[in-house]
Amino acid sequence: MSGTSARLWRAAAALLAVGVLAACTDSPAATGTQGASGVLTVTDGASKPFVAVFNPYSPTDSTAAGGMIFEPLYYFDTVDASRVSPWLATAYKWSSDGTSLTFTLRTGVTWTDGQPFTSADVAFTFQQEITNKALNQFNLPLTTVATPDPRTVTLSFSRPEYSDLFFIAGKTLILPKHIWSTVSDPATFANATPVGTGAYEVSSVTPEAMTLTANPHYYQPGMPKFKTVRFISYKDNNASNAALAAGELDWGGNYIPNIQRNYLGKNPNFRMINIPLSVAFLVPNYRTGPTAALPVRQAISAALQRDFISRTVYGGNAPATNPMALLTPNFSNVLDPSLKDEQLPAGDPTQARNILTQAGYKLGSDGIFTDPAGKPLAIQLQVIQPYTDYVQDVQIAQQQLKAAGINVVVDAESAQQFNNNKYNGDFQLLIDNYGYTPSPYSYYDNLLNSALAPKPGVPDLVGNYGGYANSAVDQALATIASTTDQATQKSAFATIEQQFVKDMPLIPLFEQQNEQEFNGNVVAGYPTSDNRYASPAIYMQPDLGWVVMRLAPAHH
Amino acid sequence: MRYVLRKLGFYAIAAWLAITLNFLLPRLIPGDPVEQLMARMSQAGSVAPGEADTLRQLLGLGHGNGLQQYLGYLHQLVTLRFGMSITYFPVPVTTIIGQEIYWTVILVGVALVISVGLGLALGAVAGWRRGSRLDAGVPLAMLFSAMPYFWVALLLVYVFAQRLHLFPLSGGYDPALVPGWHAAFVATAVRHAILPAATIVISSVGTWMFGMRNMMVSTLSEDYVVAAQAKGLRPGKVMWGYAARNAVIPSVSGFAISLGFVVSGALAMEIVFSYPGIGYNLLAAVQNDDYPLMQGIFLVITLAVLAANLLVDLLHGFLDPRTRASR
Repeated sequence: MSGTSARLWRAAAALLAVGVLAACTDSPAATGTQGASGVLTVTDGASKPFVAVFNPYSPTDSTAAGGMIFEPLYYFDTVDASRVSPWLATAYKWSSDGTSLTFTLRTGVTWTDGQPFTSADVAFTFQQEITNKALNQFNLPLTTVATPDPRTVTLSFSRPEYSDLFFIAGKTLILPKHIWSTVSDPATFANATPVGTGAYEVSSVTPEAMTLTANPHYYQPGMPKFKTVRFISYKDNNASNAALAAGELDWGGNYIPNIQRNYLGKNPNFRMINIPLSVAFLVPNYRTGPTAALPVRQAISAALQRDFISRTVYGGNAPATNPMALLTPNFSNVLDPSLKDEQLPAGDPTQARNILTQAGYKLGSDGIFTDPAGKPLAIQLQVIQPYTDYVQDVQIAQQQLKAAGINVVVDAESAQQFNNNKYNGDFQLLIDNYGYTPSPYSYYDNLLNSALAPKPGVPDLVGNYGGYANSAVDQALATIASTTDQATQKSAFATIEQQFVKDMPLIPLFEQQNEQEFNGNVVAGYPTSDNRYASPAIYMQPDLGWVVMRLAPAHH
Repeated sequence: MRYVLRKLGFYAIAAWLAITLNFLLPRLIPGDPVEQLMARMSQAGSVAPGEADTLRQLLGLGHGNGLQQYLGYLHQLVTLRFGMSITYFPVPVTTIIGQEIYWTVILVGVALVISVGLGLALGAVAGWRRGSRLDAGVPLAMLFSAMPYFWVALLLVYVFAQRLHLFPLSGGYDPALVPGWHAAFVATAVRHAILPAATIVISSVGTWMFGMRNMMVSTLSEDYVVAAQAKGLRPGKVMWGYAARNAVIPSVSGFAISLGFVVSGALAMEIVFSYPGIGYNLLAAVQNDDYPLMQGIFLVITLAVLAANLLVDLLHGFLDPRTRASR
């Protein structure tokens, strides 16, 4: 008798204890999270199960690690390149030759295990990159790191490093020395229970959901405002679109077809914010094939009715870009004033035909041009098959170009095949998008720097896949990288923009839509077109962390 | 005994061939993991020149020539160390497979057993009562089998989750819970499993039913069935004990092979329901050129299918002496 009933009693007592504990944690008095409350449920578009890996060196690391858990020294605003805000550091200063950089760190910051954050942590993070090449993610030419006092760090470089400030201060996440110095191989350290300085701590990770809770001792007063942030993984956009429409998700970055009907119409408080971070391009091969000829690139650009594509495929949410492919207002601070009214052609087959005729191309009886050597003008256009919006784009473009006498053969292929061809420069024309950076230098450098172009047998995984080479542009890029003088930089940017318009190394299409959905019944304080304080894109690191701590539960 | 040994020898060679193919096939995919990672990273912030080389070092890729890599791979298999997944770097491949395979084995396995049990029973009855209303239902069941499988899944989601709100939209459990053997979790897991399981059953039951029904019809014309009926045995005894028992033999091998393929998951179902499982992980591994994860999953599938086949072969040897004799 006694065995069973004793066990029952113990179970009942345990249940009671759990109940009491739960009651304690639920009561506001027991929380130290400065009044943080509510649950924010989001999807960052991660399509695979979550694993407990919070290692900033891992290329497949969780989005939350960059910004929400670990923080950089500065925040570089992807939607406004002129804005750089203090994060873990409060000031920085270059030496006169740009080979050393001194940061003054914020005071009163602690790691989530209670240890103080000091210059030793920053020094350790950068020192690790010097000693272990595999951890030097951004290939920084670091030589030495010095810590004159607990609030000051000086980094030294083997060459002037102005142009890498974004990678040094904006992308490098600072790690706690007292934890990471004991790790034998930082490259393969899962760091399942991370200690960071960020506004959130990891509470649980299951394959389907990653739950973070507010750091009760966060150093920014009144932040974060949401007590719990839960990331949900979906294997397919259909499933996450349905969850967004059902109000199960409060923030998502999905592209939802016919968003008015499929999302916005479902609830009066559902909102869509679209602040583009990149430009979609047709990328021509600049060195070989039909697109190596400028008149062909110009004719393609002249024949494309971009507005029609944007309206048909994106419901008008892919705004027009300019012939310099300069995102505005994101990069307006480096816009050449003489180019500010330049527009891309509206799309006219006659104009395209005139360009080709003047260049010596002949219109055949089949309505397709032949080049001056007598070869029919046929261009292979590569696109990633699963990117259905791009497949639609190129199918419409194909018809528009056909009307102008240019025969385009669409080649829809797997992402692997596409990337492999792109990185090896093995294409005539492909559709892709570039941007997602707060640095206009980085943007143009990736697109145009001739040193990056793929060489035979040496793929290029950074940019300029078409093999553009223009010494004036290379020179201008070098100038920007060698100074902090804004006037000099601006005139160099003007050179790049003018050369871009003249040579058309890439054919800009439009600004890539960046639709972000917010459930206004649950969340407030997100960036909007009127209040562009940061990028609202949930997949951007560390921007995500900057935005999340500013989001607040909605009150109705 | 010689029969068993010869079979085992055959399976050893088949296993070696399959293992070697598992090594070769992933490497025929264009590109390498670093390319796929860089393509993704460039869309979430700019990438720096030199980042690719650092990644290669970090992931420990590109050591040795093809032969050395193959020998290293065989060594990994023998020591049961499959290395770290690239898609989930630095998580070991075994952890990923271990975490996902329960979902697949339980859901797909249970759905298969239900589907086979239901299909064979209904097929037997339909064959016994030819021309009855149930028999007329066989083409209907076949229609469900012929419908695209993901479409059945989408239809179920639309009707039962989006319209009627009877079942959750997606996932394998309530995301607010941590998986474990406690009542709340099991309850939510069962609730989340019903639609995915229904998809598998609806779209596969027809095939089993059809096969069984036809075998049943041809078995019924056998002399021993007529003899049993002539002896005046009860119809139920003749139907299950004489006809169905013999009609089911071809389905048994089909079942065993399907059982082997259970571990490969049900990709379309996993995608539509965002359900945990092996199928999607294999797809993700292929898309990311994640050789270690691909090899790990292929190995599990290969071994399961081979084991199921071996089991059937041996069983057949005992059940049906004719298959044992080669001379």
